[in-house]
Amino acid sequence: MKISILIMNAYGMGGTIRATFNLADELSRRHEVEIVSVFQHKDRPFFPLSDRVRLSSLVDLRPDARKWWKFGVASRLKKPSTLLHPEERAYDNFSAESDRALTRYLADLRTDVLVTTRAGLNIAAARLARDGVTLIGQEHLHFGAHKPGILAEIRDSYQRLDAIVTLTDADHAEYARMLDGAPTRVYTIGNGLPAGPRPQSRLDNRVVIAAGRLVRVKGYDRLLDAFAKVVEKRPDWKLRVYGQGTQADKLSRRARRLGLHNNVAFMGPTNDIEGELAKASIHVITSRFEGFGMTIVEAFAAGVPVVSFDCPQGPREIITSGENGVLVPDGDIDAFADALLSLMDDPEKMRRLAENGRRTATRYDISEVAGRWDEMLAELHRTGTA
Amino acid sequence: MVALAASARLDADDVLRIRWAEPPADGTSLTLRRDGAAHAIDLDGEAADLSRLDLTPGTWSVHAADAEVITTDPGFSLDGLAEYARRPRGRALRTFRAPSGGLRVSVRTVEPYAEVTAVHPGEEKLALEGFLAYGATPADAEIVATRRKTAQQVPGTVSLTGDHWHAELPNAPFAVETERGFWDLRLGGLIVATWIDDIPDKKNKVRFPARHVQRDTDRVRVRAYYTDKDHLAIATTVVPNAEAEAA
Repeated sequence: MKISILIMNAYGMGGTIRATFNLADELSRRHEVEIVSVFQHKDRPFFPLSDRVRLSSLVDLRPDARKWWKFGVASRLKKPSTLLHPEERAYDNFSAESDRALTRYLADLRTDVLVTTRAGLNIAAARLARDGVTLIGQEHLHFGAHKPGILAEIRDSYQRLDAIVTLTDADHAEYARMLDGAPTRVYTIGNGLPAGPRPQSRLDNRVVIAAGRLVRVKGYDRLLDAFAKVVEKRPDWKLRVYGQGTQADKLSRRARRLGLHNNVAFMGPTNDIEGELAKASIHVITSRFEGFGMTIVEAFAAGVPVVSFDCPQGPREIITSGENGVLVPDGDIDAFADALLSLMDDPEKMRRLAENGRRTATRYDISEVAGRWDEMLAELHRTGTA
Repeated sequence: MVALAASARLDADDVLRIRWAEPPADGTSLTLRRDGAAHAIDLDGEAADLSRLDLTPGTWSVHAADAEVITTDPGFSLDGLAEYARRPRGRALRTFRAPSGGLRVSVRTVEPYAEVTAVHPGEEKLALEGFLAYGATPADAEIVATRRKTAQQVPGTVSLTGDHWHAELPNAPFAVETERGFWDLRLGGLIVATWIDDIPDKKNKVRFPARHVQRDTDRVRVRAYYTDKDHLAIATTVVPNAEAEAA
């Protein structure tokens, strides 16, 4: 079976890209798998990808590619997209040129199964993909993150997809309700971790780690506020924030204003987040919402307990508070600081949470996750859609 | 063949201790390799004394019975790095796990210097804390900031407790008539840097608050910063009062 996975940008960094690569690697053991990136701005992807998976792109934005652009490309890149809804969260990345490339790609699809990985692409596939291809839309954002305008489009077009894959049970319930009566099937399949020896934390560094793009939704402003309260009592603890993004300068200023300059380092991007997690003793998630929370599972696998705001939707489905991590009422900065302090003061609890987290992580083994994809594909095939 | 270490750490005497998760077929020796060079070393139980090897500076991979040693251990603790650097030595080794999982030993030629562990920019003075690394002995109890272009100097005081040092530099003398200045620091003649916190290239990762020295028509912004080599230095910038107020 040939499976094509359409992703906005395979050359960037982030949980969705890592999860997509992990899944593609694993599925390529049994299927012909390709990743099609709408945009390409670098020669190579940031994360490693198996040789078995073919990677290509539709819109080449690399500086060297400009000389090959045909007439009209440059001007179309400046025109806004009319194919995607302006409320698609990554709308600004798309353009009339990506509309043209996507429309052509979807009309000429040479594949058995097309997996699209965000709302805008799911809608585009539902509307424009040629007949005879099984269409699977993945939702990496949680249901409530969609604004009313794009939600109406989702409601209208997702029923033309063969299946929707959500990362959480809560989202499954929302989409099942929305698609009630439609032929579209809804599945919950989380993100998976590749097999192999993984770095393990000894919990011997007084280091708290956060990882993710430096954008508002990740809530690093809330993290810095909480950490400022932590260092009042535990000035020997450090916070390392991995990632880059539009809020980098703003967050750096906030850290200085809070007097955290000896305690916080903005580490930039890393292609070895597992290795960096293993140097830490606590992983923190302060997101305003989190579709899944790939780093939570990665932290568990590295034996690092997780403290997270109980934001919609991912963290509460992965973390069992008190068992493998701590869930803090969303937005309660004081409670977040207290949760960190109580873990710092209780190494025994830290070890117990870490041990339980390692067990939780085994549920997200990529072979299990890919197995569920295979079951889904077989089911869709039986019902005549694949 | 597999050789998987659950723990691989170097102690302050440069003895590498490995606890195997999956031991190699032959667990009696290790080989360190780099650019075609190889050094074999006996494995005495789980310990290999690397102090006896003539390792040139660079990064060495570790092999056992022809298999690269893979490790799940990050290879060091931050406290362990500090303890290691507190010993007098001219060569520093460090074990770490490469992103591929392979065990590595980095080898560096080192000189005594003053490691910075905290920076406290105050309204009147900049206070610094740290420890003396690799057996450093300051020539005197003075910290001196020297302006790169003009060699102007601002002296400050240093107090020592064991190998821990505390230094203070007044802000006001940095307000010399100039546009922009960069000042390098020496503590009792020693380089002042932060090298063992496992955060390389700190320039854009760690930033310190600025303080201002008020003058008649302008103010001078004084800010500690890390250079490209992770030395601690001081940058001064003249900001006209009008501009500072507008900002």
